[in-house]
Parts: sequence; C-alpha cells; structure tokens
Amino acid sequence: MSAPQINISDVASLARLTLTPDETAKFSAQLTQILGHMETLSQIATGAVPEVTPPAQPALRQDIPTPSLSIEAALSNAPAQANDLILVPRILE
Amino acid sequence: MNTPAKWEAVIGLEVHVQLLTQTKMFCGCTNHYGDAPTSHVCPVCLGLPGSLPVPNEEAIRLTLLTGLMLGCTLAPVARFDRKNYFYPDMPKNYQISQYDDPLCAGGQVPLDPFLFPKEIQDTAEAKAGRAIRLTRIHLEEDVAKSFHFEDRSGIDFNRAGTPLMEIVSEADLRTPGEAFSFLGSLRQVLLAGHVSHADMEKGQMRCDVNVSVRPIGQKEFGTKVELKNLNSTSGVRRALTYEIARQIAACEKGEAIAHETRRWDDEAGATFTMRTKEKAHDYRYFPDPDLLPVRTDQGLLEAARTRLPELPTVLQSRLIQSFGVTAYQASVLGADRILCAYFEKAAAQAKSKATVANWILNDFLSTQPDPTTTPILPEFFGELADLVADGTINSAQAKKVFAELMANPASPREIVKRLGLAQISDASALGTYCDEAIVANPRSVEDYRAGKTNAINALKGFVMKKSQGKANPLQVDEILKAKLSA
Repeated sequence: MSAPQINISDVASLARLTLTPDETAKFSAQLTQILGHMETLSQIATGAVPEVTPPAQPALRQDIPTPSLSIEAALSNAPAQANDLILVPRILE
Repeated sequence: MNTPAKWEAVIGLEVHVQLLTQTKMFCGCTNHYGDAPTSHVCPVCLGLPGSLPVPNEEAIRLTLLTGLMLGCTLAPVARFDRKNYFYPDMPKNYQISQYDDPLCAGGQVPLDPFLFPKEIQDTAEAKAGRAIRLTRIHLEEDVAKSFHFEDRSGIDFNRAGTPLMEIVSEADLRTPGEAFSFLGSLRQVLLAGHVSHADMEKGQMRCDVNVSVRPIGQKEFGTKVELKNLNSTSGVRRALTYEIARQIAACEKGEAIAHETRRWDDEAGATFTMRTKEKAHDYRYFPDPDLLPVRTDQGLLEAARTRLPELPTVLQSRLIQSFGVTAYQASVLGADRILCAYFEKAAAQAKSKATVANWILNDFLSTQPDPTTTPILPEFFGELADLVADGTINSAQAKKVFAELMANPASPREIVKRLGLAQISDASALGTYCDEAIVANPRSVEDYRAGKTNAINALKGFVMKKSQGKANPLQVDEILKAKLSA
C-alpha cells in the first residue's frame, strides 16, 4: 500500500508556520514517512480486539476554589496591558 | 410566519450553557462573572507551560444530570480531546472539548406549547407537541472575554477555562417558533436541575443556529447558513424569520445560497455575511494526552441520578391532575418553581384548588410578589377560595378581601369579619329583599313574565344594592325565579 500524500503547505498554514521551499521538501519527506508507518499499523486487524477500558478513575478535582494568581503576577509576562486586560493586536471578525 | 407553502426551513441549534460550578473546568480558579479583570486566573487557565489540567467532577456530574433529564444515552467512558485553532481569547491555542466520546448522546427536548411565542400558542404548530431530537451533549471549556478598542483588543481571562456544556440538536426544527420554544423548554429543564441559570441575555446560554430551506417534499437538505450574534430567544426567532425569508427569496430567483456564516444585526433586523466557508475548518482534533478517559460508571453517574428533579413535563401533568389547573396555568407554575411551591402550599387544604390557582396567577402575580418574602401566607389563598366556595362571601366581596389582604395582610376570615362582608345566605332575609325588588320594579317583572328573561338582572341588581353587595347571588337568583313563576 502506498503512503498517503500530505499537503505540507496546508498543514503549515494551519499551524501558522512559514516554511522555505527547502524546509517544505524536507518535512514533506519526513511526514510522508511517518504517515506511511501509520498506514502499516492500520493494516493490523484489530476489529476483534476489545477496546481497553481505563482500569480506574483518573484523579478528578472537587469543586472547591483554590487561590488564583495575583493580578500583577498574572499580567507580569504580558507584552502589553491596560486596565488589567492583556492587550493584543485588534481582533478582526 | 409568511413562509410560502412551497418551502420549508430546516433548523438545527448548537446551545452553549454555562454551568453552575464554584470553580473552572480544569483548575481551582473561581467561576464567577463581573469581578475585576484577570483576577481569576492561574497557570492552568492561562495555558502556561508545565501546567496540567484536572477535571472538575461537579461539571461532569451536571452534564450527566442534564443527559439524564433529557433522556440521553450516557457514556460509561468519556474522553477529552483538543480542538486546535488560533485565537487570542484561547491561551493554549487549543480548546479542551469532546469529539469522539462525548458524555451524552441522543435524547430529546419536548416543546412546551406555552413556551411558543404568545401570539402563536393557539396554532397547530404550537399544539403539535413535537419533541426535538438531540445529537449529543459534551463538556468543554469556555474562552476568555474580549473587548475591542480602536487599534487593539483587550482580553480578560476570567472566563477562560470555565465549564461550558454544548447541546447539539438534530436538524429537526422547522420554524422560528419551534426554535423559540426549544430554547425556552430546554431552559426549564436546566433550571429544574440547577444546572445553569441559562439566561441568554446574560450570556449564560448562547446559541448558534444552522438554517437552510428546501422545497417541501424534498429529502435533501439545502445549503446551510450559520447565524451568529443571537443574544435572546426572541432574537433567535427574529433572525430565523428574516433569514428563512431571505433564503426563500433567493431560491425563487434561482440564486444559489452561499455556504457562509452570517451575523444577526438586531437593530437593523437583518443578517450580514461574516465569512464564507470556502474551506471547512480543520480543527485537527486528537485525544488530549494530559487527560485520561473519565469513567462515569464509577460513582459519577449514580451521584447525578440522585439529583434528578421533577421534570417540567412531569410537574405540569401532576399540577393538572392533582390541582385541576389548566395546561396554561401548569406551564406558568412549572416555569417558576418558587411560585409553584407557594401555590402547592396554598392549594394543599383548599376545597377548590383551581380557584386558588386563579387567585395566585391572576391577582397575586400581577402585584409582582416575591413568594419567598411576602407576608401573605400561602394558606390565605386557600382560605379565600374556601370562603367563596362555601358561600360565606361572593366573588365581588372576595375581590375586596383580596385588596385588603394585600394592604393589611391577615387571615381572610378575619378580614371578612373586620370589613363586615359576610354574605347573606339566610333565605328569609333574602326573601324579604326579593319581595321588595318585585314591588319596586313592576315593569321588569312584567317583562320577565313576558319571556324577556334578562329582565331578572334588574331585580338582582336591586337586591344586591339593598343588601350592600352581601346577598348570595346564586340564592337570590333561585328565590327570584321561584317567586316570579309563582
């Protein structure tokens, strides 16, 4: 079975990455190889194998408030701020 | 609506509901609105590196409870997935949501005929008693709130990471009125379970609408349009009415409907293109590796089950059967559980429970009472109704007692004494009044005997006046008729 083709420029745009033509060629080859391996895995017949149910309940949290950061601490890494809001470039709908 | 009979609309809703929890979905920050910006944030809900989410068990319980109330199939194992996209109101660049294994699947919302818009409650559309199927209910985290300034936007992350339940309907709705009732009926269920306040105008319930039109009889769906910026149930109805008419007009002109998202402008009363959906969103969902699957079958589901309330439809039929109220009254009482409890107390011992409902829903409610703090005890209404039922006072006197009850709350029995209102039911006293009436109104007597039965009203009026409104009108009627036909 042939490996599926991946549209590298499409994936890059979804991930907000700008790739050079060299990078596009390099990652294209690498990702095609990875997908090819997945294709190999999907050939294994798993229809009769029951899904593994998680054995135990993972840790859940009780609905009890815990302290938050101070406003100063929360904003300390913000590149820009005003009126205790984090400022970003204007969002266009 | 004026939808020409050739076309029908196909409508599906996605309803987001804020849950009544103390804390956020994956961290212990307070889940509360209106506080100082950026005051309820921590490394988890700010998406700082190295932080890990831990699910809020109460949010899961509330979602399961909603599923139980709406007759969904509940998953024994549910998973959280990452929905990837970039937007400044979402600090991690992904939203934790549920994709393949939501907590609830299926279920339905029965449409309450009295939660249709008032002016169409009498139509076949409202009376059809339809139930709208649900696709699923899943749990996710809300995003931050954005404020838009001239050249920048400001983000308040207090809302980021708060629990948000998404209820997705099948494309079963056909009219704006049905969508209106769907939202109202769903809200009643959510209120009954104390899941959410679900007030659309406060953003506690938010709604996206998908709508298309097709010729009646056609199986295939038309091209659907998504509507956004709907901030009230009446807004949803108006937006749908406009959009359906727009799509039908376009189709009749032979134009194609664009697959797009349109924004409802309430002031303009129209929808406008926001963005076209040339490329379907690719959210690249995948299981969140930070979160293990949740086993609902290990205590969570049982805990939710113990909280099942009396559902609106069950409550309404009980009110109709046990208290003899009308379907409309049952819907009004069912929509206000506090008032309903007040009514049930009031009617508990009363002989005529339906009369108690009339007093409370017509007269008492128009005074805009707060049933939890009012000095007027619910039992007073039972007593008032009994006083009329046993003939102690007539309905005109009861109105006076009610007015006095509002002004100087006391037992209606005492008020009757205080105002000297007790009805005269003594046959001999009434007989005397009736004799006087006959003597004083010879023309009416003549008319009555000549077949104008309405003429008796003049005689009744005379007796009521003479007795200062205290005569028992039913008895007066009987006595007069007996005397006149003698």
